[in-house]
Amino acid sequence: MAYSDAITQELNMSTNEEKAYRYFDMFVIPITVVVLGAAFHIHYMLTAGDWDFWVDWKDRLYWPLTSAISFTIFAAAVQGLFWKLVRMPIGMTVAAVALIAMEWISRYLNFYLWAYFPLTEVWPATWIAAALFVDCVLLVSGSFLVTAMVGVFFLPTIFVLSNYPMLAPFRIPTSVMGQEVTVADWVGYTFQRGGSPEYLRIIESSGMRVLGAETWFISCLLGGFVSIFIHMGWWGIAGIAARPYSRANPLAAYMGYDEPDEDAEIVIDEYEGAYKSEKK
Amino acid sequence: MQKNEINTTNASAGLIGRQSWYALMMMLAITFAAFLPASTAWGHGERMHSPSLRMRSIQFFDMKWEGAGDIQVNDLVTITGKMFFPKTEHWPKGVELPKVSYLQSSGPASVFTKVESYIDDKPMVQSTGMKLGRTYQFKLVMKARVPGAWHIHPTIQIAGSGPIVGPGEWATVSGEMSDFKQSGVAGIDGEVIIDDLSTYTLDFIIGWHALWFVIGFIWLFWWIRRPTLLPRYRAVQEGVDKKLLVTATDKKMGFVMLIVVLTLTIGGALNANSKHPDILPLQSGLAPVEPLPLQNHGIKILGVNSQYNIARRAMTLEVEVTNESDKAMQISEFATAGIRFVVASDELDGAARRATHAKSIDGYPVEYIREVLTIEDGSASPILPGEHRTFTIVAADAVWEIQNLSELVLSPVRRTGGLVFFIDEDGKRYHTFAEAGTDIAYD
Repeated sequence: MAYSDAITQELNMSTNEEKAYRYFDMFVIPITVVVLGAAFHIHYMLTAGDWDFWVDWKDRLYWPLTSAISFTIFAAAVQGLFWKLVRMPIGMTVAAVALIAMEWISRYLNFYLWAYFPLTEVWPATWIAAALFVDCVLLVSGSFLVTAMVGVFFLPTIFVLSNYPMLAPFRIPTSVMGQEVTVADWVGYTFQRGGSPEYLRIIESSGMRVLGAETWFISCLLGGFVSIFIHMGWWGIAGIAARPYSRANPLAAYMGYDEPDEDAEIVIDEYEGAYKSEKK
Repeated sequence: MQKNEINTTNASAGLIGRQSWYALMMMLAITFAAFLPASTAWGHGERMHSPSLRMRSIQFFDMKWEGAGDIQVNDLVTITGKMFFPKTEHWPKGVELPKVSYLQSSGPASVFTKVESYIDDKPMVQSTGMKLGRTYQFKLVMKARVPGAWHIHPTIQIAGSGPIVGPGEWATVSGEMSDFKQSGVAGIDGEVIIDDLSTYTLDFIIGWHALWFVIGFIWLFWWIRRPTLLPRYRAVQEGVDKKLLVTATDKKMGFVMLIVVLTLTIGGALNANSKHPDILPLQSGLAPVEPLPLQNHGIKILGVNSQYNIARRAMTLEVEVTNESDKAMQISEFATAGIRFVVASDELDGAARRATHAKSIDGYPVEYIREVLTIEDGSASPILPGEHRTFTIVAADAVWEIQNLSELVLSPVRRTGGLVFFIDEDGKRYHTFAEAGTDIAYD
């Protein structure tokens, strides 16, 4: 079977070679998505945590800010790796799809089946729209800087807007024992959490920081501004991780190998492929 | 190259082989262990707090559970009672002052829902602040949701510390969880009918998530439909023409996707805004409540010392009592951490005292009440008006161990506190709080 892919043709791959690489994709891509999703899920639980767990934590002030910062840390690194290693603008979408899939699994198995919290209380916010937006900005611009300054700056805004259709029905007023609260407050009041009661919700209060009626807007912009720098930092770290290093194993003697020389240095491995050699 | 440094002697290969075998066995063992049957954990940690915190912070008393026992899904259980907050000098250092506190119930997860909650007859949707040295009455109305045998407690969550759990009662719930309903209305004019809060707009949420998943997968499939990882990695490393890696068609697809994302996102938000124009921010804030009036009992009580005898499972508390009232007062009970040690009814003088005492213990969960309280040295008689007397109260029972209060032995803070109840000759019952350092007797 002949493949018509331009890249494999340019690399002068044989059909068998191309086929082998395709099998490699079929095995490695699902494993990569699952491992990335699991790792991202742990990271997101530990950092965004309650803001994503509970419908009555998804507030106007902190939710866009903390969620965007937490998401960008991991997603920027994955985006950087995919772009630098294989020149594919899909890193953030891969991270988002994997994260949300893991979150739904966790919410269903752990929160609903195990702890009996209704899914209407613990549904996760989606990140896929915001991630697609940033990946598309990267593709269209081809620029890391534009991606950070434009794509990531509007990341929290797209995040909030894409979740708003799901969240708005929980923000309409209702009455609990004669007190007007939101439906989300009622859900949190009704389906109790042992360790995160009302006082632990770090939600906006009627203070100076509420910023009039523009809380959403200000919080999204601040989240975007902070996320720009986080994106740049983690993209840079991804760049370091994308460079293949090697050094002699210092624990080799304990693993049945010969002990390496004491003056063995870390070296950056240079890739020397057939195509490159031919061009030389 | 690392490859050249590998020692491939037979001895090393054997070592590596054994290590791999052990690692595989360990992985399999851990994997299978995860599927071993586990018995249900009924408890929820109510006995695991430090005894000195449980005995010297909030004391729940006069508790009643109406509707507990064998019930059906959707049946209501009403918990009422009182909470005493010891004064500052007795309040344990390990618990923050209850300036921001929240009333709820504790059970294993959300097996009961909270329908109503009151302190001082005020609705407790929000948190409140409590004053030390004062008593508050509360009410919780719970609705059974999940079938099973559940232990339901009142709880005060204190900001900065966590939950202080009161005594619990068993409720055995039968029926189907799917029959549970928490209905209501929402919206400015009550125009939104909520059939069941636990499934409210769930289809809509799943629909939006599914839509974004589909769009996300379309984007990913667009890229991975071609040979992906190694060919592209080689192409990047070997410097092939970038237009082959990201083609003009790819860029067009990017524009299309950008428009789709922005249209759906902004359109969806605008549509939601038009459907729900009147929205509120999440509500918070402290709701003030008043404690019960101070009891005018005229009793002054001072803890002198206490001793826990491990072998006898007995707590001895020595207290100095001065009766400044005009009534004769008799000790009827020592209650701590929700456990009630009461005197035998026939040891109380007078029918009025006995009637009050009998009423106070009627229907109380047997796991929390023991008729073992004795007053040593024969001084159990009522303390007369103006009299000053030292009482040695002894509560000996295995419940100290069952409820983990004997862990006081291992606690860094060995102090015992609790409510000492007096009944006057007219049958009126009063509570006082006494606290003292605790010595340990090992024989």
